[in-house]
Amino acid sequence: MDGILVSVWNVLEIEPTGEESAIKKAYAKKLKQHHPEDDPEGYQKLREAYDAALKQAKHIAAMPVTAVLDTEGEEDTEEADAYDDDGMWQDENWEEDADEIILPEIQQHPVRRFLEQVEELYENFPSRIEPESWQELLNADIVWDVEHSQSLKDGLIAILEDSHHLPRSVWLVLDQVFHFSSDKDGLLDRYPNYFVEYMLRQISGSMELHYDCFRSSALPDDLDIESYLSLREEAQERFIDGDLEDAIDLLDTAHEMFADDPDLELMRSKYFLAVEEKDQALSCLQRVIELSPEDWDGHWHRAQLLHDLQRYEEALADLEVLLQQEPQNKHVLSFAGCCHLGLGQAAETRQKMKLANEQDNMHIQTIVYWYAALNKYMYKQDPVKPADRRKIRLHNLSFWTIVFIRLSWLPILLYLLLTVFLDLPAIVTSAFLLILLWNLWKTIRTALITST
Amino acid sequence: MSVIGIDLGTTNSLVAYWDKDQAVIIPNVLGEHLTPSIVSVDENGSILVGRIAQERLITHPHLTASTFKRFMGTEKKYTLGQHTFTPEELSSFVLKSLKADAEAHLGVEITEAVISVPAYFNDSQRKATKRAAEIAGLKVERLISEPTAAAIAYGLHQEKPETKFLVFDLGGGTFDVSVLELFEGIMDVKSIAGDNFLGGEDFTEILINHFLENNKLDFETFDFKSKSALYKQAEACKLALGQKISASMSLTLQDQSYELKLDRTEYEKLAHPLLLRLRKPIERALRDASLSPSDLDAVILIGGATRLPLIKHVIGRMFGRMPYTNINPDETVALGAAIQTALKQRNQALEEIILTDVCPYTLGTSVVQELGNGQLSSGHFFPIIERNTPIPVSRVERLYTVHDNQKRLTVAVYQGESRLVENNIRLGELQIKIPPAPAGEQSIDVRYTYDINGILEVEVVSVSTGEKKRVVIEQNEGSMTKEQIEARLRELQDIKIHPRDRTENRLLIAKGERLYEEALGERRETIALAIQQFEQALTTQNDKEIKKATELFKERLEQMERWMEFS
Repeated sequence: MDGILVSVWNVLEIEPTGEESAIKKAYAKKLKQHHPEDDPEGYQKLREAYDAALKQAKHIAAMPVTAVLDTEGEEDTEEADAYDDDGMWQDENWEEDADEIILPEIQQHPVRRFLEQVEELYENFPSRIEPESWQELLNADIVWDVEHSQSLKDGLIAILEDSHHLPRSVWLVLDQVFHFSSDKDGLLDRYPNYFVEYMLRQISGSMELHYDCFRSSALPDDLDIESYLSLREEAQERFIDGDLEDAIDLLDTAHEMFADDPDLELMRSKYFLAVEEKDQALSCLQRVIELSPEDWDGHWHRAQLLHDLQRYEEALADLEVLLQQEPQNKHVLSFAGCCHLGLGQAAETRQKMKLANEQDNMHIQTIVYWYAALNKYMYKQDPVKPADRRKIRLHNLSFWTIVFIRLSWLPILLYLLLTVFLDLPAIVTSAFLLILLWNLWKTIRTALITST
Repeated sequence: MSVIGIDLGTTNSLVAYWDKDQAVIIPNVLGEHLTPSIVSVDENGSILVGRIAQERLITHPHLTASTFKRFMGTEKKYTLGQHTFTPEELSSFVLKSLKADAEAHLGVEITEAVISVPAYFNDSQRKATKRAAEIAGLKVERLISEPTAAAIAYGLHQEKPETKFLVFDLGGGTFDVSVLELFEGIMDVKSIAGDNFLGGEDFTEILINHFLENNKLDFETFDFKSKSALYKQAEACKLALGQKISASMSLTLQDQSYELKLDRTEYEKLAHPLLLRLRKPIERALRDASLSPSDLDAVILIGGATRLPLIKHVIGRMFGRMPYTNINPDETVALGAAIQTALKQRNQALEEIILTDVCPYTLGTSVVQELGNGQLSSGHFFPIIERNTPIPVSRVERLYTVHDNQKRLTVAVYQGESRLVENNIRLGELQIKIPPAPAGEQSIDVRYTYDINGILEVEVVSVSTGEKKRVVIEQNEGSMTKEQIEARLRELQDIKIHPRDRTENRLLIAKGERLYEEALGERRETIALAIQQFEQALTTQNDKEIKKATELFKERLEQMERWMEFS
């Protein structure tokens, strides 16, 4: 370690010092000998020595004169660099941290004041769910100030960790200002991983819970909104973990507190669907749509449930609402076709399937239902003349024969060739027959499936 | 022999030279300092550059190319009439025109140049710039980062012996931030950060989008001319908002006219997301330089877009002070490049400034990492040269095999800041054979050398056999053979460039044509008549008459333009 240490100052040709200007002067002098254009290697060595010397100078300057020689050795390696004897942060990090520690103590510091405003806004529930109020707050001068940007961000994220029940629209405003979603690596380095993931999830909206219901209806006076929101979120998490029983307990508690939340009703309906209580599920979904007439999930799940209950007309009415929002959604189109099929309306089915297929010709559901509709359509062409029917049968037979031969031509050929040249033992013949039987079974099975 | 300094910009380019004891901008044939970086092909297939091409953006948009610097180093092709050009070939026409201006001004042949590039330009973009210069017949002495060039020009007038400052460079298409320190005759670049896809053009684009949205128009259905006309309106509106509280845009489409008025506050709201993007590179550059804004002595603004009051205001908010504006944001980079030519030649009049630069990106390779459970996960980025390391630099790392009896090792070269290589840019790869052995026993030394021009060389040595492989990272050149390159050069040489001495007249006609496009009805006829008369005068070959006609035509055009502005 000593060797490296000595060489840093040796390269610069000065005694160890805490004075930056002396180091700079020495570096400038040597730089003329090791010009970056003419002597890249010499420059690199000099430059590394210079940077190391500047780093050490900070420590030397901060230390009592007598201690200088004792501690230098420890500080030279990079590992030792980060911590000093007390385990405190040293180096550049130290300064940043010092910023954070000192700032909150100064009452009137603008960062502190800003963070107080954030807390105030969060306390005010009706304003906090409006993105405009955040936009206004985040346009404060202090937010733009680069000098304090890190401590401001640290403070803000610390607040959000405890106070995170915000609609996605607000998260998007935060993301626009602080660019969370494009700086995942940087966030993970600095903040708790679970919370970084949480923030990014809120921004992407993959598990969005809506806040519109708290805006439109008058909230009950005795509603503890914070604990309600916690319950709702926890229930969602349990749901995703597949922990249904815990989820429904939480949902029921939440439901007693506040009954006008479509998201909560939707979760309840999913629970009832999972435990096969279709009537309950249906009434929950009914409620979802009452509360939020345009709700996509509500209509979609209700349509599926109604289809299962064979109430096709009503299912179609739900799907119609969705098609008004997204006329080209392939899932909705193909499901609507499926409902028409249930009603025996082959022509409508085909029309819907055609539309869906235009959106995505690989959409498997569409293809399956389309064929089903086609078959039904065929059967509807009754009465078929006996001669035609015979013809169809013949066609079918020859088709499946070809399929069978296609599957088995190789073993047949091999077997025939072998019998010509060799006297085959019985076991080979039986194996050959087994293969043929197996292929025959496969062909028949496929024929049966496709004909229904 | 003379060397020039060139600022090859996204929207405008400039050329300057060192005249005994100071840097001087060389005016182009029209007497202007700025030459628009726009190239057009005329009816005879010859090339027009600069202001004429700019006029033709509206009249002949399919024959005109602009902002091609944004695509330097990519495979993008521009088809202009019968020609097809790459971005670097288009840039070479601009360089050629600047070279001709310098030769006319200085009366000597110019063969060498220092060219500025955005600090954040990567390796392939830098190489493309060098190739553009070669095609134009210029040997590139040195590529210099734009902010560094600006810093040299600024530093030359500093009396303080030691100063730390930040250069905020918002050009047409790129945004660069550099933190520098000047001490003891050393210009030390401490850090660089930037956004390659943020520039003045984006502040124009938001106006276009706003206009389309408000008038419920679809840009895709526009023809070339309407697109260009709308672009021009938006650009003018952006500049007007710099002067006035409110401004308007208008466009005539199939005899229906559309209008949009907006004021500064609305514009600021529209630009808000863009303004927010300015902050991240600033924060990063300062963090990498271990400085805070209060350590800075000045913030220097360069690039035309920094003239916008909107931008100045936001910078004031970010740094808590008004930036240093005693320099010309358009010309500083070219002047700095010219000073660099003098420094390079160790000119007597200059006290030596030694320039030390950094590498703007992290460069590394892809490695396999062992996860906690003993499983291997591939595609992790292993940095070899960290971003903002002083250059020139050479670093070596030893890498080991991960499988038993591995026959070869592949070193893929990546550039970027993500932990996973899939999010970084792949620059190339090298393969080396190694003798089979159990996993982890064979190793290679990977050496990355990043030179002062920002060009990367990778060398791989097998530790046990001593076999060596090296590659200078070249992205696009590999696709063409030497013969193909030469053939292409000959082709380019055959393309006629519009004669320099007739530039002014050609510009007047182009301007007339543009006004014709923009005008309607009777005015059109007046303009058409004026153009016709002027063209007739040109055919007389009588100098005196031509001069008279030119003056008259110029006057008429100016009159027309004033009318149109007030209508």
